Amino acid sequence: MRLETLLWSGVTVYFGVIGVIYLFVSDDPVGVSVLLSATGLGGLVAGWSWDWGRRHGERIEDQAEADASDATGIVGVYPTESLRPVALAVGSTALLLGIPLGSWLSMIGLAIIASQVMLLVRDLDT
Amino acid sequence: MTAIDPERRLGDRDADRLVSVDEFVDESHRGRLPRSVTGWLTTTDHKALGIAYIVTSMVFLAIGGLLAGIIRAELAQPGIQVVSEQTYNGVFTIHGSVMVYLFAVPFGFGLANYLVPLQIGAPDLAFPRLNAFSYWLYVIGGAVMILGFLSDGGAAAFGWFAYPPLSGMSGSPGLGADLWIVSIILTGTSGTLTAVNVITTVTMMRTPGMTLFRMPILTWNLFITAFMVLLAFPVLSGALVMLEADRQFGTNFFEPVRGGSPILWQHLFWFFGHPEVYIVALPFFGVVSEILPVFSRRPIFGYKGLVLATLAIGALSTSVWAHHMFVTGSVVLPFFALTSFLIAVPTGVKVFNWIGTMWEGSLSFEAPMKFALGFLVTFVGGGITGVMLASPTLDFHLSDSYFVVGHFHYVMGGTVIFAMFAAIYFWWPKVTGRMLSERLATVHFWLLMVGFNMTFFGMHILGRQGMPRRVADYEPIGSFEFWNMVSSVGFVVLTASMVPFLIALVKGLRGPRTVGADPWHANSLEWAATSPPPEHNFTWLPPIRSERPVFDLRWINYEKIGASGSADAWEARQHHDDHWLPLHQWSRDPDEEPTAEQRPVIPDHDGRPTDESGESR
Repeated sequence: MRLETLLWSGVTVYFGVIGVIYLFVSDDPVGVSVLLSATGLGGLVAGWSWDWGRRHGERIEDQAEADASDATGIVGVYPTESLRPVALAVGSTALLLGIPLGSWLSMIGLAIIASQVMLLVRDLDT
Repeated sequence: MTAIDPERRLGDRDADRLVSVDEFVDESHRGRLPRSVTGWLTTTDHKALGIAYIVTSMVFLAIGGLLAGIIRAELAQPGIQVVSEQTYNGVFTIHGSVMVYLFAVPFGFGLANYLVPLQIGAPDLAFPRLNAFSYWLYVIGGAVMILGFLSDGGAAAFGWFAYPPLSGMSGSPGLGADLWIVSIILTGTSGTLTAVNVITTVTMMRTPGMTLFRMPILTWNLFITAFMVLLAFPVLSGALVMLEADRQFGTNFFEPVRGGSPILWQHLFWFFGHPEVYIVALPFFGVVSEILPVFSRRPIFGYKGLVLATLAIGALSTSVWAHHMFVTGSVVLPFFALTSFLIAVPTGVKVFNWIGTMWEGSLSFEAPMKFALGFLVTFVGGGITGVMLASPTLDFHLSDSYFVVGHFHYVMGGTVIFAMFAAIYFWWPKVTGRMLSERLATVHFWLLMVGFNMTFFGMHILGRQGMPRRVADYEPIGSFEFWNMVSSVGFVVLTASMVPFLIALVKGLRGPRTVGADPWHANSLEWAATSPPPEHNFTWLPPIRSERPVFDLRWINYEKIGASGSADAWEARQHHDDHWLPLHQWSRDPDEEPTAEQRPVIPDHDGRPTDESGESR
C-alpha cells in the first residue's frame, strides 16, 4: 500500500502546489476552488491508503517474490446475476428526466430507486 | 490470419524448448457469454459487460458517423442543400457529444472492463453490480441524448461544450437541451462509478507477484485515467446540475442578464473538458504500448518512464483548462500557455519510448501493428498543431476556426479510431477464440488511412484561411470550395473503409474456435487464460516476476531471456500442494477446484532446472 499512498500523496501535493501558485497569479476564484478541492480529494484517498497500510501491514501483492500459491483459498463471494442494476439505472434516468418533463416522473424514479436499493441490501444479506 | 510462427524469430535456437501457454490451460474451461436477453440484462460478469460496452460504443460511433456524413454532405458545396441551419446546429452538437461522451470514453471503459481484471490476475472488477449499474446508466443516458432529435425544436444545438447563455432557457428553449443535459449527467455519473471500480480493483485485487510496477502499461493508463475521471467528471456533473437549475428552477448561475457569469461555466466545463481529452486518449496510449512490444519482439522501452510520463500527463492535464478560453480575455495567459507547452514534454517522452521500442526490433506488420503505426502518425500530426494552439498569439487567430477542428480530429479522432481498431484486431482472438482476416484488415487500414487524412488535413488550411467552425454555409472564397469538397470525398473513403472491417467481423464470427491462449506470442497475463477466458478468469496463473509474465513463461527454458526469478518461482511451486487456486479465486463448487498442471521445469539431482524430458540444460 506504500506506493498507492505515495501516488495519492503526489496527487495531493501537486494540486496543493498548483492551487497555491494559481491563487497568486490569477484572480479567478473558480480555478482556485476546484484545484484546492482536488487537493482535498487526493488527501482523502492518500489518508485512507496510509491508514489502511498502517493497520494491515505489507500485503502479499506488494511483495516482489510472492506467487499465486501464497494466497490461496476463497476470500470472497461474488454477487450473482441481478436485475437490480438495470432497474436502478431506469429509476435514476426517470428521476432526472422528471426535472424537464414533470415531477410525476421524478416520483416514479424515486420509488424505483428506493425499492431497488432496499432489495439490493436484502440480496446482500443472504 | 495465422498465429505467429514461433520458429520465424528463433534463429538457430531450438523451438521445441519454447513453452506454450496452451500446455497449462484447459480448453474446456472456455468462458461463455450470456445466451438470453435476461442473461444480458442481469449479467455482472466483467467480460460480458466489457463486450457490451464496446459493442454499444460502436453503435454510437455509427450514429456519430452518420451525423458526420450529414455535416460533410451539407458542407461539400456552398449554400444550404441538405438540412436547415437549425438542424445543422443540432447535428454537429450531437455528433460531437456522441463521439466524445458516448463513443470514445465508454470504449475506453469497455477496455478497462474486459482487460484490467485479466491483466492483473483478478477474477472480476471489485464491484460487479456497480459495474452493471454504470453500464446501464450509460446506455439509457445515451439513448436519452439521441431522443432529443424527436423532441419539439429538435436536439440540443449549442455545440458539445454548451456555452451559456446559448444553452440557457433564452438561447435554447426546447426540450432537446434538457435531454442533452440529463444525458450527460447520467453518462458522467456512470463514468465516475466505473473509475471508482477500476481504482479499487487495481489497488486491492492484484494477484501475488503483480506489484504496481509490474502491471501492463494499459492497466497503468486505465488506472491513471480513472484518477482523472474522478477529478473531472464530478465537476461537470455539478456544472450541469447548475445549468439545469438555471433552466428549470430559475437560479442565476450562468445567465448574464440576470447577474450570472458565463465565464463560470467555461471554467467549470473546461476543468472537466481538458482532462476529458486525456481521459479519451490515455487508454488508447495504453493499447499501443501493449501492441508495439509484441510485434517488435522487444520489451517496452523505458517502462517506468512511460508510467511517469502518463502520471505527468494526468497531473498537467488538470491545470491547462483555460487554454480553451484564451479568447475570452479573462484568463492568465502565461500560466496556461506554460502548462500547455509543458504537457508536450511527457507526451514527447511517450512517442520517444514507442519509437525506442520498435528500434532494432524484429518488426512484423500484422493488423494490430499497422493500426498502431497509423495511430502514431495521426497522433503526432495532431500533437504538433496542439503545440501551435497552446501559444496564445496563434490561438487568437485560429480559435474557433477549422484549424481547431482539424487539430482535434487528428489528436482525438485519429488516436481513438486507429488505436481502437488496433485493439479490436489485437484482442479479437482473446475475446472470441477466432482470428480476423489479415487481407481484409490491410484493405481496411489503407482505406482508413487515406480517407482519414483526406477528410481532416485540408481543415487546417481552411482554418488558416479563416473558415469558422459550426457554420452550415460558406462563401466560395479562397480555396474553401476545393478543400471542403476534398474533405467530403475523403469522408466517403473513410466510410468505405468500414466495409472490409464489417465483412471481416462477420467472417470472423463464423467457423470454429481454433485460437489457443496466446496466438500473438504476447506478454501480459490475459494471454495466460483460454480464449475466451473462463468464468472468473483464471484456473491457472504463471509466476509473475516482471511486467511480461507470459513472455517469461514462454522462454523459461532459456537462460538470460526473460525475468531471472521466473525459473526459481517454478521450482518453488514444487513444494506446494497441487490443489492451489489463484488469490481471490471464485468457485461455485469447491469440489471442482482446478489444479496446476504439468510443470515444464523440474530440478534435477544437482538442483539445476531441466526441461520436461529431464535433459539438463
